[in-house]
Amino acid sequence: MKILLMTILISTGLFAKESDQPLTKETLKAHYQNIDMKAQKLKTVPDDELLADILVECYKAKKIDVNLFCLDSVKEFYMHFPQTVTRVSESQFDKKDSEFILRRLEILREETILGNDPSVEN
Amino acid sequence: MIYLRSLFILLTCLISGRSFAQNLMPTPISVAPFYFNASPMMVPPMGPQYQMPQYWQQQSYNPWQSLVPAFTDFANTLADDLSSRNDYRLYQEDRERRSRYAVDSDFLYERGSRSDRSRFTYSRSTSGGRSTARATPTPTVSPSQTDQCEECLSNGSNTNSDVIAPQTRDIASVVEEISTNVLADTLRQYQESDQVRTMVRSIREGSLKRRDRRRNIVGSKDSSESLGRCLMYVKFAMLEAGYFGNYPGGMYASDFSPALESRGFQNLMSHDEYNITDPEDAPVGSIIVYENTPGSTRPGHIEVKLDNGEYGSDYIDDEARSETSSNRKIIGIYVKLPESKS
Repeated sequence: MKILLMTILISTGLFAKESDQPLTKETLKAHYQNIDMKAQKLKTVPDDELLADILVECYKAKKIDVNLFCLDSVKEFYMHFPQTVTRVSESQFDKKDSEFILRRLEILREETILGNDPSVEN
Repeated sequence: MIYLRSLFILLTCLISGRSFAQNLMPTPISVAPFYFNASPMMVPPMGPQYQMPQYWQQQSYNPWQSLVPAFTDFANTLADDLSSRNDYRLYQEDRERRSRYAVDSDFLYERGSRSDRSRFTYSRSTSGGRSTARATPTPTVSPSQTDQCEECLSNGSNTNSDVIAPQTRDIASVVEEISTNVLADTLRQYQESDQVRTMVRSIREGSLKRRDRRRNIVGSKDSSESLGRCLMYVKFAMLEAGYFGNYPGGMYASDFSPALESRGFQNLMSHDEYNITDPEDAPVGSIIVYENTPGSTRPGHIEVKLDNGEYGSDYIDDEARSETSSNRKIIGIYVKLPESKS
């Protein structure tokens, strides 16, 4: 019992330490990689909680990356389930932030479909 | 009573040994299915005696073995601390950079007896039409005449390592700088060309304009805001710089490499002499092409390295896109080398 309690306490402490790390330019890429790994699970388990967690984690980087390129990880899911992403985003953020996230996602979606230069047509 | 207790213990040992000891003993992988699937009461199959594979017998895990590197590091750190050579750590980075030019071993000061290689001359050898830097240490004067520092002369001694060692390092750093400069002479010509300056200026000005899908300017925007139209903005900058006569085709940035190569641009990532893979090492004006990973390579990204260590396309950032995206991989760092050198 003691060992179980100690394990729980230690693991909680470790995770708390990990999440308390300040996000900087240097840690941004690692942060995005974590988000990307989480987003891989969305392909098999469309989970609202997981999506909300990804969006919240992603939005934390806004101070460093104003374009929120981490949303690239959710882009594919957004292309298939735009209503789900909209609903989750609106439930997690206020109207202004939610609109910002959806606008960024829309830009990424358009970039994927129309290319980096939509003025040229194949 | 004693007999009964002994019998009970014996039976317990037998039963537990039969049913549970298999979990505790080291089990070879090849026989594991038999152990874990068979019932404890099942009679083992008769057959030829199982021979342990050679590799299995050789495996002997020594937990101390894994600690050896850590102990070695600790001992080295301790030795450095005790020998009070703090300057080694200060110049660690510098030493590593110098080692790339194979001059480190030549320039290192030897305690007690100063090497003859205290003065150097640098020659610029030309091979295959390209200029390359080669550091060629040449003894010119005798060791006793080489120490020209005031401290050494005033002390009347030329073996004062505290004075001489930093001087030697300074010389080596200057030498390295010269070597790098000569090596990068061709790249400097590119980054200081008028075309590159025009392109960089155009990127900076263009990033403030908001363009719609049809290239029309529909307003202004913040320079840090991305519109997902990097290729369009880079094309405009290259047009203004004169690298293209007409507006080039291509929807996706990851497919733009052939268009660049058709205009004489060369990829430094696969170049014979300039093996540059990090955007930080690339010259100003380099055009950096990305592809998506994993899955589809499209749409990718394209950006131009600007001065002040910034990168620009339809937005400007102080980091390359590879540092702000986990799924963009650099596939090309393109520059147009001067024709006389290429």
